[in-house]
Amino acid sequence: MGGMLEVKNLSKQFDGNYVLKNINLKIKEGEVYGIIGANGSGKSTLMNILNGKALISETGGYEGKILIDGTEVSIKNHSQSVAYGIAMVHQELALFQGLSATRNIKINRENVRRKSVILPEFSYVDYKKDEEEAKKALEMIGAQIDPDRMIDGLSLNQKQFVELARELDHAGIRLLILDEPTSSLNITETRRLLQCIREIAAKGIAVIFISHRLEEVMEICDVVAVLRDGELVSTYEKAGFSVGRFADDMVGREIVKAERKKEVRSKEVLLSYDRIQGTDKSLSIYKGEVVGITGLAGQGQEQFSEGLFGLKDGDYQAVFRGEALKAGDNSELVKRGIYYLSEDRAGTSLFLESPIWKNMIFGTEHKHPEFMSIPKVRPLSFLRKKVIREYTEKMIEELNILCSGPDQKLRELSGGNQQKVCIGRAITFEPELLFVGEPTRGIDIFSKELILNWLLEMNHKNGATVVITSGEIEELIRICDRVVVMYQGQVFQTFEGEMDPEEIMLSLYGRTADEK
Amino acid sequence: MKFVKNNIVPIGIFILTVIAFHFSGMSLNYLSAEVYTRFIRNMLFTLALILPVTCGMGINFAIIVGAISAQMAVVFALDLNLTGIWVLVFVVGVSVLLSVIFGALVALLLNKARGNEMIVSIMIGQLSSVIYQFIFMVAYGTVIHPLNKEILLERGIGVRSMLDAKNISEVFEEILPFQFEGKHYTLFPVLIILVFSLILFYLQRAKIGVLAKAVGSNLNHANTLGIQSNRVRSICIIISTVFAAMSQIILIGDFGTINVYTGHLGLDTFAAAAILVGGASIKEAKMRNCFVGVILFHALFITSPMAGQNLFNNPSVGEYFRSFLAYGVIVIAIIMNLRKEKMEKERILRETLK
Amino acid sequence: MKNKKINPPQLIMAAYMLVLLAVTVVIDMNLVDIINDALIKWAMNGVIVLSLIPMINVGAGRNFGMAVGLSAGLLGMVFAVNLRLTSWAGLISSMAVGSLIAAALGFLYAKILNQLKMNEEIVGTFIGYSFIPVMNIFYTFVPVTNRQMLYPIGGQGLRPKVNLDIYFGQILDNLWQIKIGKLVIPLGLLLFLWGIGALLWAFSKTRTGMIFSAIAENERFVQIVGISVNRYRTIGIMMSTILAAVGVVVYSQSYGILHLYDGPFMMSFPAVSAIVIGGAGKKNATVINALVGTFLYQTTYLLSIPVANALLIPEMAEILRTIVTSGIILYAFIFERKDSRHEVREK
Repeated sequence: MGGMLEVKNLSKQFDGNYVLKNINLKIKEGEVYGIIGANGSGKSTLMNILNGKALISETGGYEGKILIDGTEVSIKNHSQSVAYGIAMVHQELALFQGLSATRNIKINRENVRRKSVILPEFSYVDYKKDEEEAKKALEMIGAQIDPDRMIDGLSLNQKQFVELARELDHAGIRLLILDEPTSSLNITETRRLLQCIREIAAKGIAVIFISHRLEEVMEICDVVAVLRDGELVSTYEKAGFSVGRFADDMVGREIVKAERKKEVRSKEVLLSYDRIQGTDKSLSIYKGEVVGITGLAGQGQEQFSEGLFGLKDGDYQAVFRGEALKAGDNSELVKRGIYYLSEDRAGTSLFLESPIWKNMIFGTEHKHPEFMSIPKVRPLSFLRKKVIREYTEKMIEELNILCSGPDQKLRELSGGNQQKVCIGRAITFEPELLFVGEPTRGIDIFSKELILNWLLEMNHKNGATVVITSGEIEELIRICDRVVVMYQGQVFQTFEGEMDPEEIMLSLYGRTADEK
Repeated sequence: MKFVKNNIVPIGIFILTVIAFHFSGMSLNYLSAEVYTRFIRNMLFTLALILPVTCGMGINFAIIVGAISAQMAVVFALDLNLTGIWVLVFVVGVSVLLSVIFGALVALLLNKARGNEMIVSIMIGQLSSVIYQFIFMVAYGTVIHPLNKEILLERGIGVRSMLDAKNISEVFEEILPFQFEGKHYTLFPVLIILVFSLILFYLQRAKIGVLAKAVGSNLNHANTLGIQSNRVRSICIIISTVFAAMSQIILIGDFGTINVYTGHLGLDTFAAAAILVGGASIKEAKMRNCFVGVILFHALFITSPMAGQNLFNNPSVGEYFRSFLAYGVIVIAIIMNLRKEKMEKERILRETLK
Repeated sequence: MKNKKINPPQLIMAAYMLVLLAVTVVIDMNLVDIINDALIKWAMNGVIVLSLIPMINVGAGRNFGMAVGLSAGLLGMVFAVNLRLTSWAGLISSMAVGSLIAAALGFLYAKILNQLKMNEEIVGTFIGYSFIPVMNIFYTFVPVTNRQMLYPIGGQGLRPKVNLDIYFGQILDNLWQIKIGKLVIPLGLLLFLWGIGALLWAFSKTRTGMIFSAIAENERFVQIVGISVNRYRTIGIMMSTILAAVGVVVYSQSYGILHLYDGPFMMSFPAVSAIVIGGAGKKNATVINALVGTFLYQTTYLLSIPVANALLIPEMAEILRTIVTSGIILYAFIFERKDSRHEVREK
């Protein structure tokens, strides 16, 4: 039996960075094909290509071949993808509020009574037939949902079923892509869904199943492929499944050398998070340490930084040096010397259209009266451009920022150099406690080391406590005193001393080493 | 109680209307007659707003463009000296043609100004209004030479500001006339409104209605699922423009004369205020909002100057009050809508965090 | 240095002005008269256009709800004229009282706009529209004692147009006039305009000015470093409202008439159009943008009047002006660069 879908040497680059490199895979009819890999390993890019997302064609398309039933096809847009029988259930559900389940399931594929002669859009919708078909689609996956109900009133898993029903309702569906379909479901709901996936596959539809939950992958998939840094590192048949092997492949086998001596640090608690998500669990940050917080996407690792600075809800009580902090009261946080460099650099940490000097000093003026001509009337004081420019030049040199000078606009710098500017601003701020989100994401390998070194330097020289939220486990192991793993919104495990990347990797998936 | 909460705007306006009616000292018959006239003149304009609201573009203030199409068609008909039933056929045909073309242009612009559709539609309305004025005031007699010289001003340049549209109103008057309080009225406009209401009813249940709802509910999702959102939005705007053109024909037919330069002005605001008074929001509008709104808004509009006169001995107070109402209700609608959206966003955030 | 490039509206308007200028020369108009008028018109409208700057720079959009600030200025003048304050006392007290009222109204205006971020322009438009009838009711009932301001018959309510000649009409226009032959340069008036421009320019260079532009560029960043965005937005909106009040006083003294009621109804569109012509963007505007734009806008209007009259179609001047106004604003909405933040976010 030949492959229903075959991918040959598929690559994709964004501005010269390859996020997918020479992917080869073959999926048979009726097969459940699992794809696993850490964040940023290229899973979503691969799916976006197959699904004909506009993002792909807008950024120059893909390289390599996609074959369906042995003939090469080119997927340029979503409707082509649909025409080839590819359907996808998105992790963020693409459902319309204010429309009924039927309308959502049959959207853009409505049955019409009679075709209108003026415009196809003027044809009257055949409500009865739509409802029957929607009902059939829902029954097929065993969902007990009244097709007449509004989407707004459905629970999250019911919505998931509606989305699934919509994709399965495509005539001639050949391949169903499921992106983290179980992430928001409980155990019974998950069972139901997995059962349903098996039934779908039994009908001869190929399924691509992406999940962070390894036990599900092992249970349901016939084949599992592991992606790492945009490459397909291994493919396993059912007989070869093993959590340990999966973890190995996802981390990689490179020898990791620790760069930082793990010292026994003071046990003075600088900041503690109590009653996380309404439970009695808590997390403490000790003075002077470098701590890494990691977890798979959506496991709540961002709540400690983003929640504290009011970007997201954080359900906990934060206590800094014995005093309660109010989440979102940023001026108070900044006054206490707590600083945050968010992972969304362009969105919350940079002025892309402004010169480097402004990005380097913004919000640090209260620590540097020398930047202002009349510090006493701070709000109305002019800025001493000369001092600022000299300072910025000094920082540019120290941080090795590649640019034409302090007046160059941030937008014109590479990602690595932009991040260096952020780090430079943090240094200017002289924080007591620094939160950094994904400090090395999207950054070239040379800048990475520099940035990590500077973080250590700030910790070492200025005594700043550094909290890094990152998915780069290898880096965290190298530079952190402790690594905290988050799972389902809670602290799952904390690693100290000699850290085993494999153990951390298992921990990410909610498993401990001994149950391996 | 829930009924009151969900319909707070129309109920509030209803109470105001009752108060204004009480103090105006008008007879109910007089008010009904006046409301009837205003109903037939404004109803279709208000209905024209529904589809753009449904597909998420907010209030389409560029319905003025539709009114302009009709005004142009009527002037052309007068220029050609058409009479009898052919006037109506010609005017309807030409104004539909023009409003489809103009509507497509408006849609083109609005699709380029996503997120700012409402204010851009105001500017489009203004710009097309002055270009239209320019054509008839300056180009007529200089570049364009009408067959019927009587429509020109004495100086030979520019169309007269008031033209007799008897040839249209005559057609109107002959169909289903009736008398009320000694005045002549006709049911023909109601018939047209009924027909167009049915058309709109049909369209809302046709594919376009479903797609418009989806596009209005979430544009990104619509694009993800391969709905041609720009096309859907364009069709909605074109239908809206055609409806406005038809409405303007009714208005001219009812008036019997045409105000070449000003006959199309201000109708957008009245329509917007009416639909919002009827309980619509800038994201959701139903036909019943239009019917309730037009009657309520215009009843208040008619009674408030007299009420102002009797209460404060000053008729302008009532006039100021009603124009405050017309604009203020738009501000309130936008504020309420954004509040609702904010709450919705928070709800979704909470749900995903779970 | 940011807006050095000449943008299409500026180019079109400059070309349009040259065409009109050529026509005026052909039809033998007196150029000196035109220059005299142009200088007055420039300064007369300049402050109102400058008033847009703080709101644009703090990211609160172009102030389509300018009627709020304008009304405050009108109230200031009503106050001064009612007390029969003439000359400088009248002008200064008009500005002072107008600014006070504008500060209060601007604070409330900011309260509303801060809840409606990203929608300031459409909401502002209708707040402006609905504020005018509110003011009209006020004008109808305000208990003024100066009979010259009241309707001659009945005596209730202010009249729509009050002549300012005996109070402070043209007082700034006539200050320090320099006469060179027939050419009259209203130096005092121009200095007043440039003075306000210079203050705004200096303000943009202060720390607060930097925070303003920072908010416009990336609000979330500013929030994260512990700066209260709403506070600065309130300041910006109040500044715009106050400047609009001052601007309308300057306008009215030049005009010689205090135009109440629907006077400010359509004043925001020409002002916005002028600053767009000058090259201002949705989120950054400089004093130069405002001054250049006002000059181009007002001068073209001025030139089109004799041209229209010569063609025997006097209405044409006003029509052309409205075409320019709405066409330019439309251009701004449709062709301006999309907010850079959104492009990045859509990964």
